[in-house]
Amino acid sequence: MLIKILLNLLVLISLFSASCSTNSQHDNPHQDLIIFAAASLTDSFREIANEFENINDDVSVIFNFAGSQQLSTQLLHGAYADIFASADWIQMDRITQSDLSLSRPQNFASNQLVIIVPSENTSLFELSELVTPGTKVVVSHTNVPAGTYTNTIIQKLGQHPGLSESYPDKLKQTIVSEETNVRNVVQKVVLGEADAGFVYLSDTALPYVSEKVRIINIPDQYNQIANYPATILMESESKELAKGFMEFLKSSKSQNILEKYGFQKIQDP
Amino acid sequence: MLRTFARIKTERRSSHPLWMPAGISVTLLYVLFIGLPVVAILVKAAQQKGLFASLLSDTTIQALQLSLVTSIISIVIVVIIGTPFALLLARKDSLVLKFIDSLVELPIILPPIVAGVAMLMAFGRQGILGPVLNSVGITLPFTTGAVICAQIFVAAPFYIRAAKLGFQSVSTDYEDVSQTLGVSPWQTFWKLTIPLASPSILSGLALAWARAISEFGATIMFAGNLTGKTQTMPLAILTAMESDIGASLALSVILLLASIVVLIILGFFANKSWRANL
Repeated sequence: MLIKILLNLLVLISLFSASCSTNSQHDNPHQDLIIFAAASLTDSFREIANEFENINDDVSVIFNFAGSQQLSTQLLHGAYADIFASADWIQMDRITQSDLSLSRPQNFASNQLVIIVPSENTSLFELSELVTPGTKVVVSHTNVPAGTYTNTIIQKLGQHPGLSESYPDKLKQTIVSEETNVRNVVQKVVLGEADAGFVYLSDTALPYVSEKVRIINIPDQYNQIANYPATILMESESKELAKGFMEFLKSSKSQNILEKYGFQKIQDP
Repeated sequence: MLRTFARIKTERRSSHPLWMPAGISVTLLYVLFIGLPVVAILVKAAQQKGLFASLLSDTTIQALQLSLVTSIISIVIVVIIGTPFALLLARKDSLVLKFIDSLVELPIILPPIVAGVAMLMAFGRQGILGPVLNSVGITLPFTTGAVICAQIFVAAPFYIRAAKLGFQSVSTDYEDVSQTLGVSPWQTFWKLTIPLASPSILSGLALAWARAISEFGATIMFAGNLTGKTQTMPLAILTAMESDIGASLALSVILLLASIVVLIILGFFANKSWRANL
């Protein structure tokens, strides 16, 4: 009886460990491609992955979307992925400096920041009106790429001839939350809980966002161009497939999808 | 027939002591599974360079302060509202109360993030009650008040449930006797009911406080994340996890130690109420 129980336990344990292992590709032609991608890429990458799966039989693209800093931390602590697509180079550099990247990461798109305001708001139309006391501005935390960009932009706006020198400080007074992910900033403005939020232009291309918000543009000289780099990771067990995806990312098909979602295409070298 | 069945059952149980080794090995595995992460946090924190610097950083201290202040305010409100409520639930019996009784327990099983969404929909600026709150000049989201609301929402049921059980364990006969002896109802409540129910009440208090201080999902949805204002310890742990693992570990150790203290207090009261029942 005891032996039987122990045997059962053994079977259970081996089943469990088998299901945990990622190394099940040898006897199965089906391949998984695991991509860790910045939260702002959620919708465009889903569409690109669909196209990629259509032209590659028996391939499933599996995503982990989160703030780039969350993803890089996960990767640094041993999470497995084939490709990492970051919203900035700071997070990508953490990966390359730890020798986790197979080759030099490459930009595949760029983005810039805008300010969104709920459409029903009747008092907020200009940059200068953001600092009116009582305004609730939501930004990303400076740990997040979007937050770093926002911070730089706010500093730069102090030099705007139409705004005062104390503008950056006043603007910081109206910040009510530093979200850990740019999509959370979008949500809080879409829900009408915040009066304004600093988000990517690409975020405003989503239908559920564009219906609910209007955009205040940040002039180019004060804006930040956010470059999106991607790389194949050293530990990838499907490097060929990953290379295929990286190529596909630069194809006109993918680039058009990215443009549709508000990103700027990369210039061909 | 029934008797034979019962005999078979007892025989079965006693004739298979072989279950014991399996039971023990599974228990050991489980203890490892629970214990190792706890030990790992302490070991990794001890190895971390500059742990004290992380502990003393502005963000950490502000998060600690905020967590302490908000959780204490929350618990005081929970006790003030929850105690009479629990007494009512324990003493009166009606269909409506039974319904409310089960409603009270909803936040216990509700995912906290759902609680956050629900609170936004109800008390947010665009929420159902938003216009009313706005007209009296109250906007809750992104304020410390929102942190407290979220904590009360998730923590109150733990207190109310425990206090109700505590009051139920005090027989109304005692209260009746006390009052026939000329003690006022108010004094009876303070001198008899509360002391007799106190082990339950206090363990409920400890559980509710632990739940309030660890509240995360509803807070980040409803109150946002701003250092010193709405960033409580769990939120600070998440934010720090993404850049400064040291700070994240330091905060985790503090929360871990606080949890252990709560467990010890709970154990103490459980022991006390067990003795009281002897």
